[in-house]
Amino acid sequence: MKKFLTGLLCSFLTLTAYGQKQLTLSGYVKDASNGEALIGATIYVREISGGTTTNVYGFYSITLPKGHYNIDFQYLGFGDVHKKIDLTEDTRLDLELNVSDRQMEEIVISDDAIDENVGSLEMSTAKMNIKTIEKIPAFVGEVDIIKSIQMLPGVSTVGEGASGFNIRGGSVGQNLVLLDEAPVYQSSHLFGFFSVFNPDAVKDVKLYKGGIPAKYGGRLSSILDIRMKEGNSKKFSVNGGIGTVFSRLAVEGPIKKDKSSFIIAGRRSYADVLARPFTDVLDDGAGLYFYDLTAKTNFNINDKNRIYLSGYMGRDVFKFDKYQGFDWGNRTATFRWNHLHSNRLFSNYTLFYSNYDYGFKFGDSETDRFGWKARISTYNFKPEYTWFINTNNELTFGGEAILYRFEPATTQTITEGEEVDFSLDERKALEGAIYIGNDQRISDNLSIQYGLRYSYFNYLGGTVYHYGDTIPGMEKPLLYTTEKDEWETIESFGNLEPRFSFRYQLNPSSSIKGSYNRMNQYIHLISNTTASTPIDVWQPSTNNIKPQQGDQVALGYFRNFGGNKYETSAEIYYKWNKNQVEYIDGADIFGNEYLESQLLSGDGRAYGLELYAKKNAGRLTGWASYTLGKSELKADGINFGDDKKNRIGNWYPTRYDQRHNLKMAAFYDLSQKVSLSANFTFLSGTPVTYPTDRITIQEYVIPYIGDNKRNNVRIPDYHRLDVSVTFHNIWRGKKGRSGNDHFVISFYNLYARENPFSIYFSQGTDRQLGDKPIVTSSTQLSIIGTLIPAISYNFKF
Amino acid sequence: MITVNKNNVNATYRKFFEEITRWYFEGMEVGKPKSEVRPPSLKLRRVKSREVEGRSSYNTKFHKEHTKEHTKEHKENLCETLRKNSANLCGKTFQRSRPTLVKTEDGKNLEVGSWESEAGSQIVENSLRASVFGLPTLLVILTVLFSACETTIYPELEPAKEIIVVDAWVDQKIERQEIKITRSQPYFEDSYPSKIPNAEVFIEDLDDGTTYEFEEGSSSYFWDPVSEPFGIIGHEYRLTVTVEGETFEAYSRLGRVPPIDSFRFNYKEEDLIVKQDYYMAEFIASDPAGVGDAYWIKAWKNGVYLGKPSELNMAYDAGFSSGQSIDGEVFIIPIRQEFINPFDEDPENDNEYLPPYLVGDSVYVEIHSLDQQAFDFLYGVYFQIDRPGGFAELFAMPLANSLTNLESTNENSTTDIAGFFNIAAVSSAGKKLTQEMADEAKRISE
Repeated sequence: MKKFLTGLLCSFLTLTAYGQKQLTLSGYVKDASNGEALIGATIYVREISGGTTTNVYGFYSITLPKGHYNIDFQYLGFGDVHKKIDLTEDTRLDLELNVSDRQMEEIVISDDAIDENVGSLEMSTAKMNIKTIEKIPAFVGEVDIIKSIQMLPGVSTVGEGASGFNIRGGSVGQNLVLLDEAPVYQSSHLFGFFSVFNPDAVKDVKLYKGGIPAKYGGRLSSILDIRMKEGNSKKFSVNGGIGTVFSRLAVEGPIKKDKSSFIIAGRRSYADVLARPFTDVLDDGAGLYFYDLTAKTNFNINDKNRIYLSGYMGRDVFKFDKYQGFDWGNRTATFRWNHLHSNRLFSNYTLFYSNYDYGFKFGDSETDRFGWKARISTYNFKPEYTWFINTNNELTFGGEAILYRFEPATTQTITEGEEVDFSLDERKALEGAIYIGNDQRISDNLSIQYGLRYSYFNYLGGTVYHYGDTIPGMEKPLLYTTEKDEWETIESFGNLEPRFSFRYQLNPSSSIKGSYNRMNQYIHLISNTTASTPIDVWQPSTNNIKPQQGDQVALGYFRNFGGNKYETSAEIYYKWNKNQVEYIDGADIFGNEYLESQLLSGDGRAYGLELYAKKNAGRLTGWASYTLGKSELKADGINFGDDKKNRIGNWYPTRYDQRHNLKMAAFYDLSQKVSLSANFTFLSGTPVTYPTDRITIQEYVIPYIGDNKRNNVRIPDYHRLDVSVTFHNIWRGKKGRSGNDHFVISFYNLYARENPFSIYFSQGTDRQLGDKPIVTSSTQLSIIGTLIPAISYNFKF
Repeated sequence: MITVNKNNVNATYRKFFEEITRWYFEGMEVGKPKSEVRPPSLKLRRVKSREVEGRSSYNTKFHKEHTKEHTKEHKENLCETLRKNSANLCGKTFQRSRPTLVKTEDGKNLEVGSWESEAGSQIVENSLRASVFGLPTLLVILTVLFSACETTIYPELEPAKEIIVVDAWVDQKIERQEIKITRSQPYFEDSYPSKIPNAEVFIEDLDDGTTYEFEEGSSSYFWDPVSEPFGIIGHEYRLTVTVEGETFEAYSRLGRVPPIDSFRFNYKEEDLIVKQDYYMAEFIASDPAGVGDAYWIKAWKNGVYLGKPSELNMAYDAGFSSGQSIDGEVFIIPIRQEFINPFDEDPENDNEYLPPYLVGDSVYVEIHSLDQQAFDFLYGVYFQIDRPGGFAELFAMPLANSLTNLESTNENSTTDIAGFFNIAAVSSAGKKLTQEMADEAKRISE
């Protein structure tokens, strides 16, 4: 392994040795209006018909032979900057781009410009900037990042009220959601109705569904990389809004102009505040609210060093009174240090902490109450390096070390002042990774990216449970337990994860891309319910639970039309996964010391076709995305049909398997003042299990599923149309008032369809008197069964 | 606390949401069919018993070979394993707090573990109160945000398999013991299942060799006790059913059952859903010392059996699960109280409920002993049949077939069979709520 890596490194070193004298042009590209770093701005060198893009910190570096160059700096929605550079020595060029007035229309599109869609190496990724997200008609008028990415191909959800999202047939727990590099374990407020990210503080959202670079790992399905704003380094500004559910306020400004800035953004639901004058039920300490607070600051120490400090805290609180209630929330803190070792070697060191916990409590007084909490916390150190070797090679390497602490259940009860503790033991694990990857331009047409990640997981200390074998699908018997010292290794795993992708440019407006990646996932989201919920627990890989492993191949065709006015793409993917977590029937997954005895291990596979078309310019903009997909699981003991003896499982569709997934979003500028937006969603019905028979045991009617099938039927299709009207500059931006504002009227589920969430079968809840046979029926549940109008007002000055 | 067991906390939480949901749907008045609304009392879901002693579950071969040893060593093993493996549950962390004395109706002082007595009922009471008052707040938001709805539908199902179902719950009551052998019906068929005729049914006592032959009757196969009840406590039994040329067997151990000591009625003031003062019944009984007893507690009000899915009441020792070392104690309060008090909709007034007990009403409770596998079976059944709907569906588990302990004697059989065999000892008692008891309960509450 070591040898291999050393060899790889050496081969890169030799790449730099040949050719004439190489000089480096490097610097930061920023937004002129607020000093925010521009992520993914392109630096195009006409002479070589190629270039580079800025990284997530807005840094670029390009190494060229000595000479004269015409360089274009471009960023969507910003005016181009063209520079003539006489490169005679290493040059530092920091640039600020200005927003073009009518951003979508007036993009100067030059024929030879680098186009992200066709030209970049990336495939199976989706980027959304916050401006686009803000335009999508939102549920109850609240701009929502997770809901917005669900408009993209390959992304879906099982329905309203379900937390998280599903990528290419993967489960919710297979997504790594990063907020300024720190993982966010629960991305939902109020179950799945809102996401926890405050749009006012978010700058950039990027989703990797496939072709995942070596620097990311730890989850099978996707990486959602959310970057926070740094804060306006030019002037103070205030951003806010009043919505149906949230009130938001964000303040940002320079601490020292162009050197240092901050942003603080908060949101809170306020129904309880409004209700307070009209009811006394809240006086008891009762409340139902959720809030989040995001803060970030950065210091530009000098040309070579800058540091960033960011934090997030959010919580959902349902309190019935002072001693009773239920709450959950995330907390993250990230410290980052960007350091330029040279103008070609960029480094970033990240230290972060992330915590998710939920708890609920019941009680009467300080001396008579009880509480239950579950928690996962993570401490992480992550050094990353990017070495801009030359125009043809960009090498990234680095590592990651994560310490996990799982507290599956911390339970205390206080009775007449005496405390009794029923907590389950804490579980600990250490995850590590090292990686190296290179983006290489082989020719004008062909670029490749290849990398290798070695990940390592160490399950540490405590009680070790040894279970025996049994018939598949039955609870495993506990044989014996042993004790290990606190930091002693119980079980460790190591895996190599190769990554590869290529782009072959057919002509300036079309290309073919392909990728392969292997991912390993060492922590598992344990969820046996219909939808993912905030009380799902995370569990490390142990001597009884193997890490999940997934491989994916994807192939795509990318084409632009009308001078990049239209972007289109088609991708196919195939994924096969090992060691997927499943559950025995009737598993008890909460606060269960012997949880592992009830878990099953299965295989997964998913494949599909994704089509995407986007119109970038003009008064009408928008996109359409379509996914044809299939997602299946197979585990012994589940869906075993007639094989009663061995109970060998057959493939069955996952709960989130959706055959068709069509999303359309359109934005139309009626005038300078008024714009319209609409989006339409169509999803094939998700599978549920239907019984065939009813059996009567002791006067209870129990559903029976012939052939032990799982998810054998589909609920009806889901479709929905949302529209909104935005009025710009109602008050701000007039009569000399600075800033701008807009007022949004939105309608969610315009034609009030009762979209099914689930169908369940029961004998009902009526009392049976035994005088007539028990009546059985099934019930279709719609979480949102009507049109939901909303208004919101947003301002910025 | 209701129960201090970690395992029940989640259950409590879920129950919380079920209650919220019910209230929500009632508030919206969109539930069709009308969802059941119960006072937001905290009723707990049971937690599955665990096979800590390492037995291979439902493995017939193993079971056959080890039946006797298994039975004998059963308890020792279980205790031993529990002690060894669940040290942090049993020994380290579970410190018994100061016991309190509860005065029973016959004047005896009854020792009750304090974690399940006063604080317990206070919390139950308090959460009831709190939920009632807290919910409108929740409704403010939920009503604004969502408009959920439920519709009764009759989708087309795959053809029914019409499999053999053996409903064999034999007990020691001196009355006709019936075993029903029927066919399952298409799910939406609302009729009584029909008997499969010409089956051969008998139960053998594996400890003393006695055989009990069951005769075929009009709707079931039966055995009538003459003077002695069926079976002997502690013995292992084997049910043999020969139906349509194939023989099936099931095993069950006849467990012991504690007597019901007494009843109490607790006075409750009128609240938002019961528009008059009312009484909650509670029975007092103690699990005998020794881990591994399981019970099914059935209740009747004025002779009407409380048989709603949500009223299915089981106990593992004095608590909800085997992982919870409440052994040899008075049953924890939810088991004593929560499932024996019916909340039925008032047919006259929407969103109102009939009081569980008033002066003149009577309560009758039977405790049936359960084989551990039967406990597991009922636990699984509970999750499959108690579907309150609404937001609780977010937390629902996928539909799956419940266990059966019936196995064909032919190893390669592919015949589908469902059902369960359990043999139970029974203790019972009842009480009528008199004016004097009511007055006393009211006085105590003040």
